[in-house]
This record gives sequence, structure tokens and C-alpha cells, in this order.
Amino acid sequence: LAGVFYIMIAFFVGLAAINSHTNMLYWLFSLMLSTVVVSGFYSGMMLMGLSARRIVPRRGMVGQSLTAEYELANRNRIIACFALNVDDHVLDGDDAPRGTFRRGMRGGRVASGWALHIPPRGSARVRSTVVPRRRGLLELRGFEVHSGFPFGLVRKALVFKRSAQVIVHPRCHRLGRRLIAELFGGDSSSPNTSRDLGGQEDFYGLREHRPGDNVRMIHWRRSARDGTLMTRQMTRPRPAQIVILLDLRPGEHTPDQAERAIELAASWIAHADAEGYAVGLAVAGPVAPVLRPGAGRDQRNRLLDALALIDLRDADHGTPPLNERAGHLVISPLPRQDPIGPPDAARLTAADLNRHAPPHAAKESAA
Amino acid sequence: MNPLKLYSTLLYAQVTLGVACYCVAVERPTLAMISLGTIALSWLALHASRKPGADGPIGGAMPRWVIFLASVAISLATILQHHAGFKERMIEVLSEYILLLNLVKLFDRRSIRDDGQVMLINGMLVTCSMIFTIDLYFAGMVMGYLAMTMLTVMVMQIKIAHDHAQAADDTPRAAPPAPPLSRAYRIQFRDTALVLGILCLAMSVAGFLTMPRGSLPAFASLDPDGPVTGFNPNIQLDDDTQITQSLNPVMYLKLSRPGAESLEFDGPVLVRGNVLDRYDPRQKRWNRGRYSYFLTAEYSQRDKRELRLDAAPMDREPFAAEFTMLRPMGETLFSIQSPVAFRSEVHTAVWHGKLDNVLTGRLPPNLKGTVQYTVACVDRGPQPALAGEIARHLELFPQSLQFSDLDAAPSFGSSADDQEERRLRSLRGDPGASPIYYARRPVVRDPRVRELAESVMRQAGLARDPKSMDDPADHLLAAAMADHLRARCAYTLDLPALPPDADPISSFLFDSRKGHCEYFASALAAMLRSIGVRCRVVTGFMATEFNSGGFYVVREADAHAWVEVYHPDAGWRAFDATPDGGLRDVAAQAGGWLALLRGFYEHLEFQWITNVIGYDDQARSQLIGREINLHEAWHWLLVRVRAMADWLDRLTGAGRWSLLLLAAAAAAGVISAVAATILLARWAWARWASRWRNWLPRLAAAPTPRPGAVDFYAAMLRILARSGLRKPVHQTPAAFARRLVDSDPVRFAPVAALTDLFYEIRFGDRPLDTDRRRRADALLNALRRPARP
Repeated sequence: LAGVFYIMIAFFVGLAAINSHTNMLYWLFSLMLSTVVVSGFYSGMMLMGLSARRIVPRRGMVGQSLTAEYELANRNRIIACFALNVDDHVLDGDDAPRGTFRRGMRGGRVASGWALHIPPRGSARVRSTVVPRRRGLLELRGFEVHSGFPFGLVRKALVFKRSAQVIVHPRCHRLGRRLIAELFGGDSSSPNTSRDLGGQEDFYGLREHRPGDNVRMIHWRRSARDGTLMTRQMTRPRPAQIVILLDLRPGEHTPDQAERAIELAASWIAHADAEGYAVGLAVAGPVAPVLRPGAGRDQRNRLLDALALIDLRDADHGTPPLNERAGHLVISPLPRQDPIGPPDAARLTAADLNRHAPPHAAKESAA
Repeated sequence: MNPLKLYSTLLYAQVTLGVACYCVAVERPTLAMISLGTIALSWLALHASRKPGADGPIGGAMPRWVIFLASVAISLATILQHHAGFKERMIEVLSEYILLLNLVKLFDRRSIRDDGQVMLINGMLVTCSMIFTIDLYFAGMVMGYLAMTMLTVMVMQIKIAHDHAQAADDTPRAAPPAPPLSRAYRIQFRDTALVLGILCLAMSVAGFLTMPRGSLPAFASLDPDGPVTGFNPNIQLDDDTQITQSLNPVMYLKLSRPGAESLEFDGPVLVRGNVLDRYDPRQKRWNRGRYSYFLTAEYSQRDKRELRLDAAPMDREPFAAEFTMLRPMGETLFSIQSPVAFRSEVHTAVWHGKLDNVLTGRLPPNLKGTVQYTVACVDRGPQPALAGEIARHLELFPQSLQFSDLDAAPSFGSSADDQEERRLRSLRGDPGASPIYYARRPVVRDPRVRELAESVMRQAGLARDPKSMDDPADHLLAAAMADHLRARCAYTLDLPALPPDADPISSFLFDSRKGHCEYFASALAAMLRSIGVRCRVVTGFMATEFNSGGFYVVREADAHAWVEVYHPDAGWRAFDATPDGGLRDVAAQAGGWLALLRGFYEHLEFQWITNVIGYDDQARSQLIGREINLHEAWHWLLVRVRAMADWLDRLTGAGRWSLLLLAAAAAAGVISAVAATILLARWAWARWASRWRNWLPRLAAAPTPRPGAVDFYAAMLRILARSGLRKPVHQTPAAFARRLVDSDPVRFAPVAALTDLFYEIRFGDRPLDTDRRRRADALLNALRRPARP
């Protein structure tokens, strides 16, 4: 629009020049037209030699910044790029249209980044940040690199129709540190604690020494007796197992309450993982994988992925099988008449989220 | 400097320069002071910090409603103040309105959109300024303004990109991240701005030269009152007006003959403006008589042709006097000697009085700026126009045969003469057209004047019959009386007080004996007419200053008055009774380097006005349809070199060494150009060779690593060395990279990647293909940047 306005003014200056036969106005008119040409030429030349690649994280979290990076490479040998904007087309749920895209890409949100300068045959990384509003799949449909440099009269754009998806985890709230102990009777190791080979705690057995074994673990007396170096094998405690049983079967709850229940489950997963528990997940109602208890970052991501991808519109697929060795935590949107899970399972509802995790204490995402 | 911080400074600099351009164009220093003070206040309110280093300005933007009310008030005030003369002063009123809006809008800067509006209004202001003046220094200011505007707009685009990204960012942040700056950015931005500016300038010049021109008059203006100069079309002897001593140029005068570049006379050139043949003793004022309108030639600008005013004598070669008036000076058209032809692109009508050889012209209304016209004149020689005109008049009006009787008694002013003249006019039926009396009426009634004239005549050994119409000895008489005045009276600009009822000419001749050129000319005319010599007073300029560019510079202080005396054979001849020291001293006040620089500036201004401001359709046709003639081009070059040498000679006083200096400078320029060409060719060859080196191995299908394939690692080491991080000789590349990464994993991550790439190519026998080169370049660029947002 600025360019159109500018050309209109140039047109009037031209009329004034012709009317008054003033050479200074002729020159000004000529200069105004030349700036339009130069602006369009330079903008086009800048973008002609530009290639772009988008780098997005695989996962994000509701309410937390999601940073996408765009690697812009300027293949041009002479022309440097200045003042480049990268607008990415973000669709996460039914967001209201906020930005417009060219060539039919309309609606959704725009995540924008900018690059001050890319030298000839150089590259730069541009970051744009978007805050996901809903769990699920956040779709980056395509991005546009545009610039009005040098004079802003002509805006050139380069559209890259490359889609990408990011799994947006439910929001994780910070929970109280003693919450697990309170719910599971003060025994942090749980009733079903066991030990695995490979630790440093209790004696497990003897085996032949192998190169690389710790020499301090050599059982010298047995070695002297057998004439072969023998190494002591020790045990380590197996982490306590908690299975979160998310009850999302059709009921009287609202979708918001179901989302709150999912958030509570996610918070529990993050919390229990941080406390060293092996966490599993089973969802009653919607289609979701049953995940056996496990520990570590991969397991946590698998669990949160499963929560992120729960489709509440299809929530009538029965109850998952129970894991007898683990402690159970049943989370439901509302208290139900037909509870699932073992009788000794701990039970929480979505309303407990406010009690366990105040809204202002959002936990930083570790995704 | 950070472009985001530089932006506001540039914007204010641009607005300040634009306002200064306007104030210079309208020549209003008070307005300039007020405007610049307002701009400074806006800067103080919107940008200046309370304390050094503190964030946030002292004040803030004004509320929108205040700006709205102020705009409405300005509009109303403008309408009310100028409703009467709005049409006549439309551009001026609009300019003032735009200026006020611009100043108010400066206090309403909240977003980039507001800044754009401020810039737009400011641009409109400068556009209006272009209509007011075309001076060279103003053109220089406009050039600076446009360059500043381009730079501001370019930085503004960076700001817009930054703000766009900020607006789309969902994450709340305390402050926007500072953009990463590097030396490469600064250099490339500067070079890009320079190249784009030159490109725009070149394109605009091409458009300017090739754009078709219309045929309408130029330089419309709204100031009907011309500037005060030393020249007046009439002479008023009893008022207290001071002759100006200003050295401001009034006109540039270029004299040329066909085939010659320019013409310089040996002595001063008298530029004739108006001819005054009637003196009114009551009002003490010299006027142009009504006879002057007898037989005129009209000229219409629409014809765009050369107007033939008179036939040039066969034995005299006319020369062209090209006048470039820096400002229009009423209806007066100047000429040198007798004009025989006239040409102008601006004037709508021209009258030529054949009786007095005076040109007057009509300009378009509300015209300001330069006016150019050319008058073909005949060099000093016989101009028997008057005799022919008298004979023609007598043929038309045979009753006026009695004129000779009347003319024998030159006692103009008496009641008897008035009655006789009225009687003659009634007989003739053509009041006011009697060339018999032309330039013969006595000026003053003081008998001492005639006595003085007769005394001087006797002293010179001359005699004259007062009743004779024209005497061949009149020129000798005029010369003797001019000598007498020069010897007896003194030139001064500080005129003595005149008694209330005294006649200024008599007082000058017999009492004070001091005066300026108008008094000398009036006294000479009075003495000559008292003994029957036909003469008249001429006002104009005395051009003495010849610029090395080939033209005369006529200044306000060069205004002059002299006398023309009629000779039956030689026509009108000029006699100047003013002492030589008078005008010359005034004009030669400034000297030395300043005068030389001023001369150089005026040379530039003359070229500017002649070639740029005066560029018209004819010049365009000549330029576009011109065939390249090497001989002419060489001649043109020689003339320019000679002119430059002359200028250097005047500037340095080096005499013949100036040519050597110029030759040395030219040689240095040629050597520099050759060296630059060689370097450019070498650079281009290196680039092409590099490209071919990349291509040839591919064509030969031999992807063997070259010795220079790992140059990027050396470049990495150089970058690190600049930061004081040098790789010890005993350390392997991997160990060196590990050490750096352990110290700062984020900063030295590219080092690890480059080292891997180095091992891959150097020892892994991989080629440095385009992808790897690009990766290496990207990593090196990342390493050059110390920090990222």
C-alpha cells in the first residue's frame, strides 16, 4: 500500500512538473520513479538467491515458547540481504486468523522472525517463537521470506510450502515434592520395589573378571582359590513403578475438565519422572497406547506424546489392562460411580490440579 | 551503530534538513529558528533520557486528541489568515500549513506508521520548497536531503522488519534483542546504500534528460514583489534611498559571436536597462517618455521564434548576449547596445521601442526564479534610428512640420510651451507622439546650468548653436562635460542632506559636488540639454567581472546610470561621467581566496542554471539527436582544460605552473584510473578463475582434494587468533577444538564442526564440494559473530 501511495504522489509531482515546467520537479519525479524501480529490482535480486531451511523441535508444550529456526543461505555472490522477515504459518487448533499469507495460505497464526543481514554467499539463522495454545499436533504449514528493503516501496516474498509438525504436550504444572509420599503411604520405594543387576548396593554374585572391570571389585580370596580372577557383582534398586490410569470414559465431565485431567496426568508424569520413578500410562476411553512403566527422558516423552495425541472426541474404547506390579494413580475429570483400577489405587480428579499445582506455578518445560 | 538506535537520529536529521531547506528557500531565518527549536523540543520530549544511561525519554508523545485539535486549529488559522489572498499565494500558504503540520506531527510519534507520515509531510514540504528557489546551494541542500531520506528509509526498513517480528512474537519480553552487528554488515550496508544511491541518481538523471518537456512558462511563484537590487527602472533624485553595495549576483551575462565560445570586452560592459528621457522637476524624477511607445514590435512566446527587432548593419557583426537573470526584474529587458533580435522561452510578450531602443517584456504572472533570454546586439557603431523615425513620423503627420520652430526654443516647462504643445497635439490628433522633442527638453530651469555648460564648451574650444537639432560636435561636447564632472565632483554613496526646495541636480553641480552615478548622469544630461544637445539617461549595470567560465557576473552593486548622446551619423553613444573609482571600488570589496572561491561557485551556479534549470525541449532534442564528433569532443575537452587552468591560475597565482599542476593532477587521475582498472580486472579474473577451478575438476571427474581445500581451517585459525586464541604447534586440531569447546560450548561449537570437516576432507579424502563449502562458510560466519540474540 505504501508503494501505491508513493506512486500516486509521484504521479502528482509529475503533473506539477509538466504544469509548471519546473526542472527541479521533473528531476524529483524522475527520482521518485527510479526509486520504485531500484526498490523492486533490489528486493527481487535479494530473494532470488535465497534458500531457506526450517529447523523445528519435535516437541513443545502448551504455554511455553516454541522456537523454530530458519537457516537462510544467500547464494548471491554480490548482493547482500538486509531486513528479511520470515513468517511461518502456524495452525494449532481453531485459532482465529491473525495474519495473511500469499498464494492461498490464509488463516492461522504467524510466527515471525527477522534477519538483519546476510552477506553474499553467507548464511544466517532466524528464530521465530510461537506459544502453542492447545495440546496435540501443531502444524507449520509453510513459511514466507519477505523484504521491503531498500525503500519499502515494493515488497517481495518467497514462499516455501514446506509443512512440519510439532507434538505439543499438555501443560505440566509444578507439584508438591511430598505429594507422592502422601498418596502412596510414605513409602517412596513402593510395595513392589525390586533390585536389578549392575549397581553398587548389595552383593549379587561372582563371575570371571573381564578386562575393563573395576579392579576394586575383584574378589581376591575366591580368585586365589580358583586360580582365576573373579569379580563381585552388585545390585541396584529398581525404581518404584507408578502407572497413571487416566479415566476419560464418557461421563458428565466437560471437555475442559477432561483437559485439566490430562494436564494433571502430565504433571504427575513429569513429577514422578523427576523423582526417579518408573512411570507408565494407561488411558481408559480414548484410543491411546498402553505404556509400561519406565524411566528416563525417552519414556517421559513417550508418555507425554501419548497424552498430547489423545482425541477426546472418540472416547469409548474400554478400559486398558492393569499392571499388577505397579502402584496405580487413577486420574479422572470428575469422581465416578464406576471407578477403574485396583481398589488400593490413589485417585485424583481434575479439581485436584488447583490444589496440587496453583495456576501461577507453571513448571518450565523439559521437553 | 545499532540501526534501531540510529533510526530516530536519522529521522530527526532528515526532518531538520527538510525544514531548513524550506526556510532557506523562502529566506525566513526567524521561521527557521522557531522550527528548529520546535524540532529540538520534540527530540527532548520523545528521545532524550532523564539521566545519562537511563532508559526512557523525559516526556512522551502527545495524546491523539491534542494532535487532532492542533491540526484543526492550524487548518482554521491558515484559512482565516489567508482567505483573502489564498489564490495568489497558494503554494506559500500550503507550504506554511505543511510545515506546521510537520512540526505538530513530530510530537505524535508512536509507531513506524507515524514516522512514515512525518517523512511524507516533510517530503511534501521540500517539494514545495523547490518551487520557491533554484539556487545552487539550495539544490545542494536538496541533494543532501534526498540522500539522507534514502538512508533513513533504508534503516527504517530494518526497523520495520524488527518491529514486524516483535509484533508477531507471542513471548513477552522486557526489551527487544539487539540485532547482531558485524563489521561485514557495516561495510556492506554502506556499500549497498552507496550503490543504490548512485543507481537512483543515474536513473533519475537519465529520466530527467529524456523526459519530454511541455511548452508552458516556467517557475510559477507567488511572490510578485521582486527582490531589492541596485537597479531601478526610474531615477528618483530627492529621496533617501541608498545605493546597495550588495555583492549578490543579479544576472549572468554571456556574450558570444557565432563560432566563438565566449566574448570578453576589453573594458566594462554597459548593460542597458531602461532609457529615461524626461525629467520631471516637480517630482525630481527621471521617467521614460511616451515617445518610447512609438512603433513597437510585439512578440508572443507561443511563437517560440526569434524576433527580428531591427535590421543589423551590413558592416557590423551582431553578437549574442545571453542573459540569465537570477530573479525577474519587472518588465525591464536588458541589452547591450542596439538590440536587433530577441529570443525567449519564458516571456509572453515583448515590446521594442524603436525610438529609444528599449526592450520591455511581459512575464507570466506570479513568476519567480531564473529567466533566460537572448538578445542579439550590434557592436558600437552608427545607429541612425532616430533620424529615420523622425522622417517617418513627419510623413505620417505633416502638421508637425512646425516642430522645428518649437524646438528652436528649448524652454520646456513654461506655460507658453505647454500651450503650444497642446495645440500641436490637437492638430496632430496623436497626443504624446512627437519625436522632435525627444530627449531635447531642458532638465532644470536653473540658468547656472546653461552657463556652466557654455563655460565648459568654451574651455574645450567648441561652439554650438542651441537651435540646431543635432550637431556633429555633440559627442565632443559630451566628452568634455563628462571630463569636467569627473574632475570637479566626487563620487560618494553618503549623500549630503538636500535643502527642502532645492533642485538635486543644481545642488549637486554647484553646492555639494558629491553624489553617485545617478547624480553624475543627471547633471551631464542637464548640462547637455541646456545647450540643445539631444541626450538621455540610461539605467542598467556596468559589468566588469568576467568569470573564467566565460561569462560576466553582474552584481547588485554594479547598478549604474550613464548618458547617451545622439549623433546624426553615429547614433546614440554612451558617455559616463561617473569617476572610475566609484563603482569599481564597490565591486572589488572582496578579494583573494574568498573572491576566487566565490567565482568558482558562481561558475558552478551558472552551469547549473544554464544546463539544468534551463534544460528545455530544444536542449533535449539536441542531446538525444546529437552525433558524436570526436573532433568536437576533443575541442570541448581542450577548452575545459584551459578554463580549469585559468581558474587554477587565478586561485593559486601560479602562472604557468597552473597548467603543470593541472597536468600533474590529470596524470595522477589517469594513473589512478589505470591502477583501479587493473585491480578490478585482477579481481574479476580471480573470481572467474576460482569458479573455473571449481568446475574443471568436475568436468574431468577427478574429485581429488586440492591443497587449498582446507583453507577454511586456516581461516578459522585466523578468526580465533584475532580473539587471542592461537593453536599451539604441539596440539592437534582435535585437541585444540576440544579445549575450546570445553571452555565455552556454545561459542565454540562451530570450531568443533569445522575441525570435523577439516578431518573429513584432509584425511578422509572427501572433496570440498559446494555443500561442504557452504557449510564451512556458514560455520565461519557463525564463528565471526560473537553473540546471537
